Amino acid sequence: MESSWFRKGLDSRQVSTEVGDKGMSPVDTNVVSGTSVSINPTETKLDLTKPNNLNAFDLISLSTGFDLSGLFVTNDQKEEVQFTWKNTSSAIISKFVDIAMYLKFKVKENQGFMRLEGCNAGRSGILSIDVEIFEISSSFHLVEVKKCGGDTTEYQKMLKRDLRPALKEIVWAWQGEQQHH
Amino acid sequence: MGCFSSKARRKFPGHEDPVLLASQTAFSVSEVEALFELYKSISASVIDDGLINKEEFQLALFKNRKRENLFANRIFYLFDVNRKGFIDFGDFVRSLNVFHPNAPQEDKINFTFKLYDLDGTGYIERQEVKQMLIALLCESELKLTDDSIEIILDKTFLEADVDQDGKINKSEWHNFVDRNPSLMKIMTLPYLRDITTTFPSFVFHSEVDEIAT
Repeated sequence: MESSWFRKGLDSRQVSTEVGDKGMSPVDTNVVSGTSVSINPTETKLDLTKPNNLNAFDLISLSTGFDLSGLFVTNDQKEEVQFTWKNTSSAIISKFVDIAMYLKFKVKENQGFMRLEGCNAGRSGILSIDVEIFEISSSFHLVEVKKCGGDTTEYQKMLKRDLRPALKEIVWAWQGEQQHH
Repeated sequence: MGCFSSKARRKFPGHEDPVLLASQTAFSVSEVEALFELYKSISASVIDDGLINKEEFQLALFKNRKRENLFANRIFYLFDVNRKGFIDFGDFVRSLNVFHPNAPQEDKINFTFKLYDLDGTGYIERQEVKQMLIALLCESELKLTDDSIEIILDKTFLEADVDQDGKINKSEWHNFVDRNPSLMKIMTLPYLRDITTTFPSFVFHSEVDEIAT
């Protein structure tokens, strides 16, 4: 049975903060070695007969021109980071699992939605981040990373010190930032 | 209060009394004053004339005053309520009000309708959506085939354009947004809740200083 990476618009983002773990299953990072992961999605091409795809306005909403948070905070201080990824979604999932292993975070995953949880409680509780993958085409995805729980400063440090360098070579473009390909 | 307002009006044309603005919006008086601190810095960034022009808006948004963007242009256009070519403080507060977490959903939906109705005909036409989609792809350095673009448009219009006349009218837009609430995400700025901490206002003290000198 094929599992789909399509997300139901961006609704899930609003739901996820209210509804616990959304049926995610933990990825046993002890078992995983290198980049092979025991999650079994299969890549499917953009199939618009399915009800849960991004529509034109979902895509248009991604524009940084609509993101007025720039009036209030610099890019460094933004809580959500988006980047485009010119590869398959299973490749990005593997990458995040690797990052989680390196940071000794737990990973839970379900259909293109991941949660990474730290083990040590910081000032405001355990740091956890959500990663959502949106399919634009089968080889082009948008990934959104945002803080789910824990201290904002710790989260931003983690983005800057760990996440960005780890993703540097493979991110196609960081939304909202000028690119230097 | 009168002393502050008249001094502010001289330097900031179109400046309005914070108490009045607070009464018309979801902001408290201190929040309006905090917005004024933000407004002052944006409006002085390229030309110190107390008004926000397009370059200053682009600078504030993108940290790059030359960066042109279709969507930022639309936002600027809607913020500039009387089409003066610049945003004054009243425009700034009243427009940001729509982005407040407590602003009515109806106002947010109406704002997006106007936003996407590029030529102001009262309908969101397929051609306009196509233009915006292409602009987004360009901006994000995403590439989709022409066919994929048409497929996305077909799918969107199939769902949104109920009477299948090739354009989305206001009521169709309302229904579409009800079914896809995530589309309103861009219309809420959680940062507006903490504005008094982000932009502490020293209005009271500066008024006292001005009187003393």
